[in-house]
Amino acid sequence: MIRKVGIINYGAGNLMSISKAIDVLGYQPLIINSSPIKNCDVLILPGVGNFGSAMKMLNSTGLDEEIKKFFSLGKPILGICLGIQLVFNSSEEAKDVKGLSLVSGKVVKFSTRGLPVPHICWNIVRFKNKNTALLAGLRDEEYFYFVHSYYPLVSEKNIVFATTCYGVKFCSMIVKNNLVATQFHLEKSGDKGLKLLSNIMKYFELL
Amino acid sequence: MYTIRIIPCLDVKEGKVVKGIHFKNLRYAGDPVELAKWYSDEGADEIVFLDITATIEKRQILLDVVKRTAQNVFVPLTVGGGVKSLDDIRDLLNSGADKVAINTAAVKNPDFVKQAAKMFGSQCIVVAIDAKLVHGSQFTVHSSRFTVHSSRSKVESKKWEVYINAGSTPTGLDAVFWARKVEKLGAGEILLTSIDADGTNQGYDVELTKAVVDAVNIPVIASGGAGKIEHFIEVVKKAKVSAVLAASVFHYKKYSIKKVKTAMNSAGIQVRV
Repeated sequence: MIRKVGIINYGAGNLMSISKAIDVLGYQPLIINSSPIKNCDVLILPGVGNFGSAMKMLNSTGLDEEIKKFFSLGKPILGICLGIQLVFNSSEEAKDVKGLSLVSGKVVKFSTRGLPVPHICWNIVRFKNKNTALLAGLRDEEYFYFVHSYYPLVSEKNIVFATTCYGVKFCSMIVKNNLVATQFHLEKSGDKGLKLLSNIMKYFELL
Repeated sequence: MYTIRIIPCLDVKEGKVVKGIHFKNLRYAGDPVELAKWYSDEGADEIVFLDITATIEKRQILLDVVKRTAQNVFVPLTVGGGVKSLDDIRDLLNSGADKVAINTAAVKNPDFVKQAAKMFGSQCIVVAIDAKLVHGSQFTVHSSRFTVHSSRSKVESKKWEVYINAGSTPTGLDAVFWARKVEKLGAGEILLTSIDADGTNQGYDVELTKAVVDAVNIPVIASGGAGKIEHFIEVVKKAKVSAVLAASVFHYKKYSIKKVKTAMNSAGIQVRV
């Protein structure tokens, strides 16, 4: 039974949007500023900020180790936007900083000719797996809101759950057992975003 | 794939949405909390909230109104008005803003844009530019590193000057130059308003908008002048903007967002439907 949802605070993010969405779905959001992480059924790595400063904050508070422990215990983690990037090994945004390395791969910058960067728009997310409870009430392709300059290059191809095209086709959602992460903002994508967020929470319930 | 965003703008004064012409003669257009919810449900791709008197009245933005407005919005919310410190930005983000628009403070202290982008990420920092066409040939464009005497050039090209303090104070800065500069400083997006076109319903300033879009590689939001559906289509096709912003046509329910999107779609412009 999921009740309390911990939202990691990197000190630079908009936590209200995601808290609000969690609250609307009937769960209790808890802002986490420091370790240890207590009494959380789910952890969210939210969206706004810089890879380097976010990782430094996680390292200095010991939250990095706590998140890794949470993951290895099989407890559910959801990453959103910057959150999906932090779970990889490294990012071009901060070359000397190590990521959480929950999955292997690296985060790279868009180099799209003729298209503005950051990628700020509603874009089509194409889901690879169609008949799954995660997509209940959603079409195989839906618009979600993106705002980012970097995207993940995933080494473990089997965890790629959805892709999106912006000059290049990139992985916009991963699912690896108890880890789900999206490059788009679930909490800012209208009713479809809330629907997918709700489905993800239900998927977590069954873990 | 690149969809064009349709953005209703709430110009807020004393907690109420107002709309003027050329930034003046403001009249009441609605309640921000109600309008934001209406637009969010109606298919707006983003909502912009500007506290238009915060800078002039030398006060902080009305956080309480921002908070109540954000409560019912599940699409991106950009908030601006009187933003001049990193603390202001943090307060707005904690009140439910997803992006923050900086205008006057960016001109007065360009380094602030750099610090803000470093702290919160470029994707969070929108620089708002209010620009006005310069008439005559005596105009001199100044910046710390650059001076152009447009009267000397053989071909007279149009120039637009940046205004601050809600369009009341000219700065001598060339709008295209300033746009390039804020991109370098780390702005993630430019919200470009033509003071000449604002509130006229006569169409966006396509020339100004195109000049800025061509000069930068970050997304540009066109603002000021939308009155007909053709105006939206025109500025997207001719100036290649990433987003179109409008206020009065939506507030006074001349067109619904859905109607604008359907028309844009039929004109071959990719939008979220």
